[in-house]
Amino acid sequence: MPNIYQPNLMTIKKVINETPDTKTFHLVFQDEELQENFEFETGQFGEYSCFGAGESTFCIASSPTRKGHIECCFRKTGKVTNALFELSEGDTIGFRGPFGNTFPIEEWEGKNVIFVGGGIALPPLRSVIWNLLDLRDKYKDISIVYGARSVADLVYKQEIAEWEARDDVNMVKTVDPGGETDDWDGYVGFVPHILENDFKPDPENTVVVVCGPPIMIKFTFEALERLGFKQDQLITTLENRMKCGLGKCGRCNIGSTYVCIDGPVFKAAEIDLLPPEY
Amino acid sequence: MRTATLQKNDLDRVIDLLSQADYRVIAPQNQPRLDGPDSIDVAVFKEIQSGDSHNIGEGLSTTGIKPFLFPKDEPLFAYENRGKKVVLTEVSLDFPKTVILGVRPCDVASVSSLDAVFSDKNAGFNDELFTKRLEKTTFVSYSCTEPDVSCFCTSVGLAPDSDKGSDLHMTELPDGTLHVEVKTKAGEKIAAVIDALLSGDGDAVARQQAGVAAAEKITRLRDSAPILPWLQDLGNFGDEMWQRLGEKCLGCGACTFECPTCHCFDIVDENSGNKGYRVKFWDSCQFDHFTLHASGHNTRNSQFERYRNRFNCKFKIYEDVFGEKGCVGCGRCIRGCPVNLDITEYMAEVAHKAAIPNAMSADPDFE
Amino acid sequence: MIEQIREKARELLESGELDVVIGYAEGSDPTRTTPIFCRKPEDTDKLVLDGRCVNTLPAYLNKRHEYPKKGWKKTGIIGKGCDIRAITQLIAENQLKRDEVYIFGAECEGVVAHPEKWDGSLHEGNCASKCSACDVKIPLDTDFYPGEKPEVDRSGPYMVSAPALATLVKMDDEDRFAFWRDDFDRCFKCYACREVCPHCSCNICITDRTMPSWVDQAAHTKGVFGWHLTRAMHLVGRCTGCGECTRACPVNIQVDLFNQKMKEVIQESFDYKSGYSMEVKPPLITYNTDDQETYIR
Repeated sequence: MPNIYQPNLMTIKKVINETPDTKTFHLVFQDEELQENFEFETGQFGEYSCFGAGESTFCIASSPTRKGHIECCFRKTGKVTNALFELSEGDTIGFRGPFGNTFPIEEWEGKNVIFVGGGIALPPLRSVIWNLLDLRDKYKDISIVYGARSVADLVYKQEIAEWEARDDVNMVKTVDPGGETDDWDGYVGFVPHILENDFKPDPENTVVVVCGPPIMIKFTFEALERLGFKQDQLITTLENRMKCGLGKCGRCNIGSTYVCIDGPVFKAAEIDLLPPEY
Repeated sequence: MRTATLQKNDLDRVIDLLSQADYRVIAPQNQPRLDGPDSIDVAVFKEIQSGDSHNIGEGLSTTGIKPFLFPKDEPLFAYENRGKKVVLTEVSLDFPKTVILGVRPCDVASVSSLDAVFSDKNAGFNDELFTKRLEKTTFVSYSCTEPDVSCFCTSVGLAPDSDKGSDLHMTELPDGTLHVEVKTKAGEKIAAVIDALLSGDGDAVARQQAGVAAAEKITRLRDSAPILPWLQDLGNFGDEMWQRLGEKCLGCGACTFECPTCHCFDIVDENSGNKGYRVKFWDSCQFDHFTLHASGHNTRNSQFERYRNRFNCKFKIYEDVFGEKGCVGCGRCIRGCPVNLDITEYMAEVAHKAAIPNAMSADPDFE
Repeated sequence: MIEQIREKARELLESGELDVVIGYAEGSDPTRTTPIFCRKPEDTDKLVLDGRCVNTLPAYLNKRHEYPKKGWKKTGIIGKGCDIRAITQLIAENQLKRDEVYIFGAECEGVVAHPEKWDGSLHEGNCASKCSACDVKIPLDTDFYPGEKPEVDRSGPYMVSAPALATLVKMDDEDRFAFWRDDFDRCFKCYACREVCPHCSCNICITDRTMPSWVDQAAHTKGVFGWHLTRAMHLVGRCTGCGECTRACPVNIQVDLFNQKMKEVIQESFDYKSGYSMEVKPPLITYNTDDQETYIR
């Protein structure tokens, strides 16, 4: 058995250019037995390697209900993501995981679920969105509120169109002021503002899952609380910097809570008990 | 278990016998230094052979035994990029049978703190690079009889003669002999190897008195009992003391790297052409880029916040997650700090604040 | 001496002319002092100045640290002669403006090489080697100096002072490499040498950069040599010789020996002494059409 830091090898089966600086990879394990038996739950993350550059942390962006491959989606920002960005179909990457906790989707059965995402934070939501859509009967209304800085920065454009076309999904899309194009048919405005003033969800029997940068999470929670949502109805994921994913390297902790072990999924009520280091 | 007497001047023979019994022997050793007033004595644990000098029983070494369980850098595996394929090669987990001689009680107690992090006790993930080294390592500890001004082990539940984590414990008695106590099966094996040098069953009374006498020499005394409940009160996370005490911190990692329990690390690929190693190496929560997100967001943005994290890690996070303190009171972070940032001043301040109800009075003049 | 400084510092804090006075206070054990930031007039009662005051306080003035970001108009700072040399150099390098600081100076009798060596007094056996050839015991530029400041001739060369340097220079290359390899084996890259240095001013140090990685970050032989040699080169003609990098090193690596050697080289090649002029720029960060080397002209 290799040590816990040694990744499994995966082949990039498909590359999708989401935006000028964001890509999706479809990945399969090179070890057939592992490919056959690999399981994860929605919300979990992995450590993805480009050998020679290092390792980076992203969620698993595909749904556990869709077997055959896993997906990740990343924006090029640092050394590793820049190196991954250069890879193409057929190339090998490393993967360690799945790590972390999961979205409590059983708890949401029989409820309305609203997904609120900003920018590159749609991938973690996409996993759970498809998970719920594949178990559509168990849930009531499903809404997706997604915004990005500009039209060019929206990821999963094809799937957004797919969700818009479905009559069992309420798709709300927005771009920040100035980020719209002439043919943009969504809202213009920041996500928390659109949520509070245009979408105005009813808190009754509803949970909201928010993913985005820390500042967006803060404002979105505040907007939702003004709409009457209680803390136990609000869920998010935190993305502190990580290296090991195993609770050992010591950098993702928020007080005594390790995002890699105890997270990345948190309820607003849980976050309220944490020191403000996220 | 067995107790006995060993002559202190037989320590060299102990090293000979253990080497002959195929142990790799690690002991504290004074390092050579250049002449001149600017250099100070530095003792570190090193692998030694029969006949090498050592300074077992002479003060606390500058650095501890951490590198022999958790090296400052080590490869995790080798990789080779071959076109679209990658070949990985595992590193060996076959570590040499090792005895660490002359470990001070604080240092040997720290092993359990490291084990809590790296073993499968922590979320089920077993870092075998650590645990397999630990399996092969026997600790021969040595009571302190001359603690110095920075020592504070008695304030964190230990003592100059603690044997926590030890396999075979030695205490130097006033008559110059060593009182030997076998603590574990691994210690029994050591005792068997050095059996010819052991005599009688020691002097338990003198040993106990030596411990008491040493403890009385410790001047840094703090009450650590109020610290955990005070830290667990989230309201105190924003207390003014963090910034007031921590503002002089310059943000180096001396305290963390000298600390026997600090365990943070980073992982990078060290590339050479189309191949290289993925390397795990010591990192420090005191560095500004430690928690820096790729986006530019930093969850611990100021230096005092980073030291607050360090103090919390020792006295709260370790307690919450592993049920023990993450500090063994060795005092190295005090001795090594370039600006005299002193963890025991934080301990005293917290105890002081905890004693006054609603003491969280922010100083209005403090920016 | 310190009484007069305390009094002046109190007066300037009371009048609001200074926002803060950075100085030394008693440390957590009798061998040490510690940096203190006096904001309230009464804080100045805690100020001390003696042979234990080893820290180079101008490190706090370096823009890389948090202090200069507080938005204070004017910072008071207590400096030994070598500290004031560091301030002078910061000003020469445009890292600091002269009117941002108010310098309290006093005659310095030297400082202890390391707090560990403090035995109640300063003497030949424990005084830092940098003090032995010091020509700024009467400091250069001060805003406040207790009493009359005598004129001092500082036209001579900067005297490199560590006896260890002579020992090292005498070694042949192989022995010298072996010496550093063994000493660097103890280095765990805590960067205390960098953080205490008043002149390490890069916002992101080259060793922390990853795109690309210039220096291996791990503390193995290559990574450690990479760091210390890069650091030495980046301080050529800039280091003012306070020796804090050596004093602060928790594992006693005398890293300032590199800087001292480079100081000799820069003095011989450019007739430049860092820390003695706020106007003359360090030779390696300027371009001169009269340069003796043809390749640069």
